[in-house]
Amino acid sequence: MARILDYFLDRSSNKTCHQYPHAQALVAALQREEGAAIRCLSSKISGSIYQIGKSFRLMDDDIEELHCDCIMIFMDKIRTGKYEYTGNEPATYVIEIAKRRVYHYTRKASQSATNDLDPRFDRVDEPEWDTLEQLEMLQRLLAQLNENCQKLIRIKYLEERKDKDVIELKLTQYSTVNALKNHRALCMKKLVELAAQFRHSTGYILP
Amino acid sequence: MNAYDYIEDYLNEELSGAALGVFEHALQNDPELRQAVERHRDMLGRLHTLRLREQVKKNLVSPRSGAAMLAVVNRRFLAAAAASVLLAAATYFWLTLPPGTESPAVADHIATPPDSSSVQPAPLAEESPVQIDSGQQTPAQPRSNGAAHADDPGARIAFVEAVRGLEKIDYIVMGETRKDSLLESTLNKAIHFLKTEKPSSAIPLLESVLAQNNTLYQDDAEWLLSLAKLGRDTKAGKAALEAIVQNPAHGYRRRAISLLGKLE
Repeated sequence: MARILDYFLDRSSNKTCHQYPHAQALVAALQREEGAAIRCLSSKISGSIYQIGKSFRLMDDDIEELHCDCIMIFMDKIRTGKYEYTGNEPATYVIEIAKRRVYHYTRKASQSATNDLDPRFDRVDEPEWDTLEQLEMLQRLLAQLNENCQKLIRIKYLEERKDKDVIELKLTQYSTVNALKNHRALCMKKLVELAAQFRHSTGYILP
Repeated sequence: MNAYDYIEDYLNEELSGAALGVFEHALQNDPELRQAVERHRDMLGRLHTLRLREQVKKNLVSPRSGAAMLAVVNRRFLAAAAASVLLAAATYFWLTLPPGTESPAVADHIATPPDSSSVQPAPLAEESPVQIDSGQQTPAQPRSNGAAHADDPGARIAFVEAVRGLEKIDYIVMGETRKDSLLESTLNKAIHFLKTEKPSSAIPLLESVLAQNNTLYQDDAEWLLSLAKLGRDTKAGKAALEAIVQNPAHGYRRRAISLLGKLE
């Protein structure tokens, strides 16, 4: 059924995938973080991810998170050079990530229920799960910054706007690029310090 | 210059010229600065991953659309399954009809007798001409080998219709048409008599075929004999047809049922 589903979804997204005639082109486009490449990959795995999620009795929201996380992990591996293209279909690789992720998720849930093992131990062989958990921590740390800092960091690093454009469009209270940079540098420093405090208090490795 | 204020610019490759030189010099001599740069670098990496996550989320082809598609596929599968079950049930019902009954559609057809104005059988060849007796027209008595039904026009119509569709029989054995069999030529001769509306002439031929007890020709002979009997005598014809209907394995059972229905 998942294959049928993938076929239909793949067919519906043929326009997106059409520009990537082979897997290597898709991987290259994912490395460039092209939206079309993400949509193509997403459509290729959507049915299988749904099937995997349902087989582990995940809710729809969790399945959507799983879908997103697996693609993100895959792209992060490409970016950091941990993924080596060997001629295999990227979708297959991502589906494998999803399976491992679900297995990890359910194992973690059962451990939480019994509370008999330190969850940090089972991260050792699955380093990509650190990525996800660190992102969750990072979001919490960002939330601890004041609104202005959150905005400055978001505009620069999440929306990737150029400082010059930010000033021209008056997206912030700052009227010069230097003022913008200085304030943002302070915000980043604060964020790094919060991360360091978090690391000291929990022993958890966060930058 | 406080080097710590320029970490972000350095990591974003926005430092150049003398400022870059000064920063790199400080970086070589200040381990704490190097540590701060590494922490900033890691933080920027995490922020990049966070941005990536948002971008993926924005471009996700939702599994919910997959779920919807799955539901569609499931609905189609269920519809196909339901249609298959209905078809199987109808086939079973049709195949297991008790002898003498017909499906409603056939029953309707049987219940509507052919319009006598539209079906006008030709006069039987062996039928005697109309004789004048005491000023009244009375049909002549059939000859010994002729057709009857002067008192039963429905039977005659049914007989004429049934024999009209008869064709010469060729028996194919082992992929080859047999043309030398005496029984086959006898059967075909009987068919000729029936088509020329000489049922009484066909009857002894067909009985001789049946006397051979050859299963290859038995169903054909019995069917033709029942037609021949019907052509001569309605009651005898009905009896022969009913005998065929009683045999569920008979090749002409459905035709016999249909013909009996017309005779009712």
